[in-house]
Amino acid sequence: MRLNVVTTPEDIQPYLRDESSWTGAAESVSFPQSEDEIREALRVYSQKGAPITIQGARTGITGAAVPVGGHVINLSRFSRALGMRWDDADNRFLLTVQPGMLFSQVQKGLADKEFNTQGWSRESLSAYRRFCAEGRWSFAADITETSASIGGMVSTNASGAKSYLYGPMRAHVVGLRLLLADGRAVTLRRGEQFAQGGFFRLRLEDGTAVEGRLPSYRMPAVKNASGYYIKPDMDLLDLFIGSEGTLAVVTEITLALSPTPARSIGLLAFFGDMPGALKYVQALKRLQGTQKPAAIEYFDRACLDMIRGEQLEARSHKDLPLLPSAEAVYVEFHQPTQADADTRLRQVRLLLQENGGKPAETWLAATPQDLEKLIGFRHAVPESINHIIAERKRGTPMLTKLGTDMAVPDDKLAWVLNLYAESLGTLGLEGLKFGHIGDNHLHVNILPATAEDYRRGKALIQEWARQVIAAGGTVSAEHGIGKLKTAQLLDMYGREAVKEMRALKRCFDPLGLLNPGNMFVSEESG
Amino acid sequence: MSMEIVVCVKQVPASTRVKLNATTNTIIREGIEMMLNPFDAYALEEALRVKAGAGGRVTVISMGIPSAAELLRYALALGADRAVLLSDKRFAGADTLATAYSLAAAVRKLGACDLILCGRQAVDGDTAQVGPSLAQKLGIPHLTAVSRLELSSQRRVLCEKMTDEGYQEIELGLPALLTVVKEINTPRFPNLEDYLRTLDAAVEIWSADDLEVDHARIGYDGSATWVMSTTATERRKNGKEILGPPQEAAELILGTLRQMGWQPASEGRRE
Amino acid sequence: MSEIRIVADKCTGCRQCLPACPYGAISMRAKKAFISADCVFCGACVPVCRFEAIELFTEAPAQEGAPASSGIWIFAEQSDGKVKPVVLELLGEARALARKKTNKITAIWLGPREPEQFRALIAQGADEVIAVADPRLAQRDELLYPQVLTRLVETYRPEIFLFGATGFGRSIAPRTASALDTGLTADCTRLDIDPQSGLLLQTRPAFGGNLLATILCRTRRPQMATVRPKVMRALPADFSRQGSVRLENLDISGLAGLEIKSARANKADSPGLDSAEIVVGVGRGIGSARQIALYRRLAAALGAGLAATRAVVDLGWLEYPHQVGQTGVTIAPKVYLAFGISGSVQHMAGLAESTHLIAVNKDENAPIFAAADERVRADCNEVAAALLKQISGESARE
Repeated sequence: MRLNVVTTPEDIQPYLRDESSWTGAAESVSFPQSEDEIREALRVYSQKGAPITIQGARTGITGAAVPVGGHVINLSRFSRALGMRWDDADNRFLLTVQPGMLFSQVQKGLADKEFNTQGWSRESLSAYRRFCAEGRWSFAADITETSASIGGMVSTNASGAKSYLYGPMRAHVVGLRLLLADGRAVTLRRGEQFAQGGFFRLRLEDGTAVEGRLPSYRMPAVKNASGYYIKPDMDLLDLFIGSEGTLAVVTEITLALSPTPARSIGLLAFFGDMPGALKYVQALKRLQGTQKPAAIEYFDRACLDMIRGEQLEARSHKDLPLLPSAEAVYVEFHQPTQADADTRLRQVRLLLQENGGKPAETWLAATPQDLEKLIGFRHAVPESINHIIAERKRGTPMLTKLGTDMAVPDDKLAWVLNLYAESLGTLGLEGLKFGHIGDNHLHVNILPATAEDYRRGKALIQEWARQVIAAGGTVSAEHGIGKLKTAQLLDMYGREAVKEMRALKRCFDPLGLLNPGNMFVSEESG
Repeated sequence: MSMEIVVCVKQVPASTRVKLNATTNTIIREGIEMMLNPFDAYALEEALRVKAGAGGRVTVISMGIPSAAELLRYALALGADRAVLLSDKRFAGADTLATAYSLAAAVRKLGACDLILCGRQAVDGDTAQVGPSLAQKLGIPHLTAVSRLELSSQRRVLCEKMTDEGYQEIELGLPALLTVVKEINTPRFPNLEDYLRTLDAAVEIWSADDLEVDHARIGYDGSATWVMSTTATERRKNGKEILGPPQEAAELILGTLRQMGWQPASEGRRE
Repeated sequence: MSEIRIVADKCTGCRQCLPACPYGAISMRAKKAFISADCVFCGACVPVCRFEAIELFTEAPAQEGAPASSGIWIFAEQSDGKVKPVVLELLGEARALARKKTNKITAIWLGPREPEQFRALIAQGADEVIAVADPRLAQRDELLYPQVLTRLVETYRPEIFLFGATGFGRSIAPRTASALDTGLTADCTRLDIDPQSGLLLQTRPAFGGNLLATILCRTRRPQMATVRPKVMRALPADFSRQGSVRLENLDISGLAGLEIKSARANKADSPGLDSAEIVVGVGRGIGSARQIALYRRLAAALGAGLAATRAVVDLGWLEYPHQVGQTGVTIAPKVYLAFGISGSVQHMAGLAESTHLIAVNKDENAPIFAAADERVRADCNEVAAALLKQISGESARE
């Protein structure tokens, strides 16, 4: 076993950043390819007492993977699929992978029915043969940035458009193998170990245990990626999902697969104003059970005008017809048969008619190729925004994008949309609103043109956070806290709760070595 | 000027990916999902635009297996007026010659026809042969790789055509057959209203008996060419890995280029 | 008639044939394979069955033997009175074929009378040039040319007729073949003579380049094929070669032609792919249309051509003349720098095997790495920017 480590500044340089605006510092980066090598790295570098940052694919945007000195354990070479199993109880396949494997690689392996099965057990190979022989299986967790690692998805409890129906990452993880900072390990399956009345005792594989009190805060009843997932009698597996690498290193993840839906259809409907679009959205949200959409997404007029402008310049998006200048709502359905899909379409036509929509001007994507085009459009929005910021940055280097990731309870959706629109208007700031409106989770991107804009935009976002928290919402619905939003987490839960979170971390990582700075600052500097 | 427009479309596999069964050394075609040949979507879109401008009717025609009817219904949802599927075991195994012969018989049966639009080529065969071959069988002029078209006066069409060297402007009298390239337009999405309206629309199915054809000239038996064998292609090289951060990679790449004889522009000027 | 059947006694119900059918025509009934009416007799299932339980009968229909014919014809496509390079490649190939089966090689020229070009054709391998030198043929006309070629074929009855698979060739060859009711194989990358039958073996990529199919034209003549440019090799010119030139007296006044109103060359920023020794290729992995400017500058700095994958062109980031692949141009530069290109077989089909391929891609599983001579797993835009910086820095230092 030869742990691959780099120590020269040029070699380390690429690993000091993720997709946030932060650059960190580190003295060395290792690339383990086995669990033993990870354990070795933990052993060697914990002795130095310096921080250890665990990295996946570094696609996060909150600085969670950005090191703050010390050592980096980069898991990008620890990226194989390890095995498969048929789960009789729930009639599905389970796939076990190493954390460095990318989401896109899992999707591709499933779609192509092709995995590197070298070293797989007999049981896994038998399940694999069955998987190859019949049916089509997918990994139903959804994220926008498909080059993220599975480990990263676990650490932030990642979600995306289709999480509206399928749930966030948490809903698809049935097992984790965990390595604590001191090298002790446990393979934990869902349903095996539980907390009781806020007290937990996690039994490890060497017979020892980690025990302590769970924080006593209540999570808001919204889509949430802020802070630890806590419930008094929770399945301990859930403690680690969304823990942003602060409790343990995840070395194996067992994912639940689901049958690929037979028929997927998407509809892009256009509205003259936001209230009209919202009425339609509320109607769509009332569809439940087998009628529930897979995703409901919203794009305000500014978003469409931006892409439309690019189309008119004829520089890109040639595969898409010219977008109108309008508010847009995208809804997607996954149905078992064509007949079911057609029934959904009839329902949507009715909903459109009843809510000021125009079925004759609603784009229907009924083929995989057409669905791809609409995905292209949806991803183009944040990309184009990034580009505009990059251009403005050239004139005013201190400018960065100001983006939000807040979600509110159902009954506050109209309120928050109005809050955003009115306050931006009052302050004369340019902003775009888009996102997972089905989960009441919208991203607002403020595009500052001047330093003054930037200052006011930042202050506005803080004000929004205050109001959203007071309304029972969350400051981070999907991106996580990382190092960039620790102040917001503090605002959201309060000093006492964050103290409890630190205490929880100390149970697993008494020396505070793993990913310090994620979620909360360590006490010494805090 | 009301136009009778015929669009020839083909149902092709959505994925042309192929895997080689390592044990039997035979080809396993992955994914039996079918789709409308991408180029044909552009042809259909252009037909709908011509109809919108000049008035008339768009008939979509395809030769294929029964499930291709779904594709034709989709064309009706986009705005075509009539859909005809040539489906018969006896059409199967046709090469482009036999296909053109059969399609020609079908077009003749459709009656008056001013303009035939086809996609430039089908992404499974990639031959681009059926269009010109069909025009020959019908005895009408054709143009390939049309990137823009405009009806001029009285049964003439002005076309911009992509050539190997650039573009040409050519005027043709109708009836004529044009094969189109993707530059010509951006295909629309069907809208929900039209899609639901055409859910139960009829697609006419014609068998070999419905056409005036010599059965010896259709299908496998009517083909002039025959596939003797197929193998999978594989390009494998034992490449060298260039590691390191971008600056280093760029240095190494420049090194390779120099080795292969590249010089920066200014160096060449040194006497 | 074609027929296919499952031999029930041999079928074990192993289901291996189901995914092999491109048309989904095989299902299970009563634990045995069942082939539905969707079957088109492509035969893909037959070799997959280990138990030989699938029987496909594709007897050639009873036909008379092929009509008498002889000679290999090469369509000498000209542009502005100059023969196109692919014609010379075809002549080289024809000479190789003639070594396996003696055949006179004739170049067919439609266009202005160009004695120097005729001499060049002979020097490059033609035994004979037949030229129709009517002023109406000066401009390539896809309506007029096939009629002229058809008449020539009917007069002289060649055994084989080859065309370069240029845009023009791919238009007139099928029209001509259709008029002659003979077989045509498009985009061949290999030609050979079958030793037993003497037939032309025509090999071409199919299924987006994933498969190589070898095709025969058994009983119709001439056996026609279009051949990919830059795949065959021209012979060095040998001006000592002897050959004849026949100016064909053909009255084409009654034949219809096209009204070509104007022509224009590709825009100034042409891709420069034709003769470039280095080509920079961009794929979807570069992220967005805005990155194209970077690659234009890089290509300019390198004096390289700029190529694109189909995905990039479909999205409108670059125009079609830049497209390299199964659809699009074939290139054979010394070096190909592929940025953000996954390496689909569709795209690779447009790249010569001999080209030194340097692939830069973030995804370590990109198929292009298997075909690359040098693999760079990195962010393609970062590498491109670094490369540009270094080149500009070097030039600046001079």
